[in-house]
Amino acid sequence: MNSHNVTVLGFAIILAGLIGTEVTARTGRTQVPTFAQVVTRVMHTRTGRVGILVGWAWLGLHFFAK
Amino acid sequence: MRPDSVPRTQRSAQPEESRPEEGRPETAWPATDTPATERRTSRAATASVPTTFTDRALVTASGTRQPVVAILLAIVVVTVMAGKPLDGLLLAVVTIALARDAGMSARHSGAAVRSDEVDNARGSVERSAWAGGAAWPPRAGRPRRRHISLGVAGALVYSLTIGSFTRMSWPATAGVIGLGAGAVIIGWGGPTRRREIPSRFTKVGILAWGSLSLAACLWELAALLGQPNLEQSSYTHPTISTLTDPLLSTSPGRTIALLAWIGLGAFLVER
Repeated sequence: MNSHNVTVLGFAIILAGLIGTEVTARTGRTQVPTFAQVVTRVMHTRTGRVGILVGWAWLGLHFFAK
Repeated sequence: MRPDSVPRTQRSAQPEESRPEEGRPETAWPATDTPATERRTSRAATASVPTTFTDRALVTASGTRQPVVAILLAIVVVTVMAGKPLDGLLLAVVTIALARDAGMSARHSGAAVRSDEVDNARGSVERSAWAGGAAWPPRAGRPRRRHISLGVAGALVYSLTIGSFTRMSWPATAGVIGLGAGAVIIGWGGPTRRREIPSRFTKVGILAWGSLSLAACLWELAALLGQPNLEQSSYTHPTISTLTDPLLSTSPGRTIALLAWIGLGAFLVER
């Protein structure tokens, strides 16, 4: 397995972990919060809210803008 | 918030009148100011307004202790190093403003507590997440169907238009900056929807999301540092940007990605 495949596999494992955590959280049988709950908690202060939205805006700039 | 899910120490620190009623959810909407609170806040604000440049700089520097601000500053550094000075500049401006706001909030809270001690008033200080109040009252429920339809139609038109421009062109840049700035301004004004704020998470929850987020950041950083240089992508060590290049090189691909970006933004603004 070359370096390219290892790197892609790493991203795939992390993505699978994120999806798995969300699915687990939605079952309600664990103490793990859903993604929406995490974001709501972080965004309940102005610093958190603006910070997250700036991160989102940066994502758009990074992929589409100069 | 379920009262029984709050640690005893946290519950006892709250004054009786500001404690959520049994079964009533805690919302993002700031607590209504009582005259006493107003007096304290006003006195605290007057006492703690920075006057000199050094004082302002210190307040801003103290705001960087907030994790969100620190993460944004790290992104600024990496963005500038990766050869995107415009991204870095815009992000730096907002991050500094945010750091100042966070520093001021922390200072006001401290001053309000001191003022409260002098007052010997009842209970502790009612702290609002939005100093000075939110710019608008949040909605109680979901947006109306008519508004959702208009939003979806607008998002489609926007994505098709911006997606038709060449990637990294000035028209695309202007479009993305416009929408991004609009969302940040709305975020600064306060929440748009009244929501139940979840109580503090358990260690398991923090560990699950925190470790995965950290792993994603470190893996991306490792791929970035594996490139010949920060501005040149590598097939051997592809970053997320490199992996999405084939999708974003076509107009339909950009349209789909823009729709996903807008969808994520709408989800966040509604939190």
